[in-house]
Amino acid sequence: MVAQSDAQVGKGILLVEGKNDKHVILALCQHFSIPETFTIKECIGDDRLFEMADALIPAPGYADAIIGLVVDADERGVSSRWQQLVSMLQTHGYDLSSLRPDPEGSVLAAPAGCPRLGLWIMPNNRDTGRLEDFLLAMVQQQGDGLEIASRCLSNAEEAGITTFKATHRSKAVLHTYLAWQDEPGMPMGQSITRQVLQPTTTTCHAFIHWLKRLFHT
Amino acid sequence: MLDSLSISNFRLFKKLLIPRLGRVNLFSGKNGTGKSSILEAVMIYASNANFKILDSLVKARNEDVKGLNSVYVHNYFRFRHLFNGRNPAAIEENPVLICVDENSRIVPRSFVIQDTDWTIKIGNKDGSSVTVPHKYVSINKNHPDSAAELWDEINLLPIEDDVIEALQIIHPGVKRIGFVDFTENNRPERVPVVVLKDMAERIPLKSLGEGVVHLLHIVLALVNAKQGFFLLDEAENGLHWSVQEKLWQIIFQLANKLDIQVLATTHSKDCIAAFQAAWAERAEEEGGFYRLDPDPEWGAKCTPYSLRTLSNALKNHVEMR
Repeated sequence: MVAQSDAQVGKGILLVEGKNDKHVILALCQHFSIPETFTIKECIGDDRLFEMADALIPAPGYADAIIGLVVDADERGVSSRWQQLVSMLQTHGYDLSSLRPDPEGSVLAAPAGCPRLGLWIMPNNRDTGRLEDFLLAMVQQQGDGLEIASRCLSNAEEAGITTFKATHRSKAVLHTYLAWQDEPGMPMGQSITRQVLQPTTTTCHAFIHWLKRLFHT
Repeated sequence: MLDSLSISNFRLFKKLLIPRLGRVNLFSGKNGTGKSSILEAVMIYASNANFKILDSLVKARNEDVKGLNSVYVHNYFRFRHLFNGRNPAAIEENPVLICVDENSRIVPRSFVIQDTDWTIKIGNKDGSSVTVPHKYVSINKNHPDSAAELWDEINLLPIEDDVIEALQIIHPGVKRIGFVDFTENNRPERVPVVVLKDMAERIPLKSLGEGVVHLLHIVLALVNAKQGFFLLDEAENGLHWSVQEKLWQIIFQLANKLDIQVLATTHSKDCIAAFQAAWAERAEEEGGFYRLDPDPEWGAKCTPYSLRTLSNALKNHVEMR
């Protein structure tokens, strides 16, 4: 049961869509020495994430908590995600009418007695896409890797041996590249801890800065 | 029906505002946060600060025990426990105010203790005398109306069928019920008896269990609260979770049919889940769920939940009590 054991004064919780999001963010926090002032909770997909946030806002012990949300923009895009947040928050008394999504990550002022909220829309609060695009930006920084992996994928498509959906292209490219590193088949979070990917992109720094701003660390 | 409720200076509440009430409302919260006090406030409101009601509220909490009030000259001072702060000196200036939202057209009702020349008066400050039907049920406390008296009000009327249907939630074999005099040692008592579908003789209802007897009391009180308030404390008591689901469906149904406003309290997640399932079958405005938390400034704070948020909390195992 969430919210009873987690509930402490000033406690933070970061809601993420799935396991990969959780491990990548944990790896980033470790790399940047972010203090453990919040727990990371993986939800089963974006709809469940918003349901969870909806239920946590009024939960006992959460009046002075901090709740962060990390969701993929997907194909629907940033404005659509923002709208999803706005409609969910309406019933809880948060007034977002004058606000727009912050390209550096949104941090929302809370009405009295309500938790502070933050929203990051992967990859960068601007483009469509997902966590994999956030990581692909790191691959791109490191040389020809991205180009070669993309070309490889196109070759495979032309040869008719692929079945991935168009929306999952960035996943296919990323895992192709990672498959060539040590060790093939590593989970996404490990690509950071094993320093296969360098978390030095501007977006990466912006994400870390958003975490620090949100959780006051 | 109250659209909203505001309670000032009553028991632990300095001021409690519930901005919106539905037809059937369930309150949760830790022990001592004021759930039962909300029901008491509605009873005072509905009875127009009836002396007998005020007396019974005070008796129920042992606040009339002589030793605790002996320093005060008059034993009316047992009523000081109904006022926030319990301070008799402050009471004359500060009436208890129970009303709907300030913006409402309904006149607020308040009761005061006025100490003039050692005479204590208790009554409604605005002088009105209209009362609203109300019935209160709690498994642990003495009831102002016995089940037999409640039965007398409705037996042979069509609503009797709804009562039988409700009992069938626990025991599908119930066909008809009645009350039989069972006076022993000069202590009169009327007990419920039942006839089952495949049996000719009457058997005591209690023979079928405590749960069905308590359920009978709940339903009898409910149907007697027509166009008034039904107040149910600790709604989960004595009832299995599967029974609670069907009971909430019946409560929503009868509340609608008979124009009753229901306020109930609970500690149980099963009860809340059962309530949510019944609420989800109806329009949002028909129900309401609330949690009370202590508040250092106001005594208590009320957090309302929409049907959607309550459903999300239950589905995702997030605490709401």
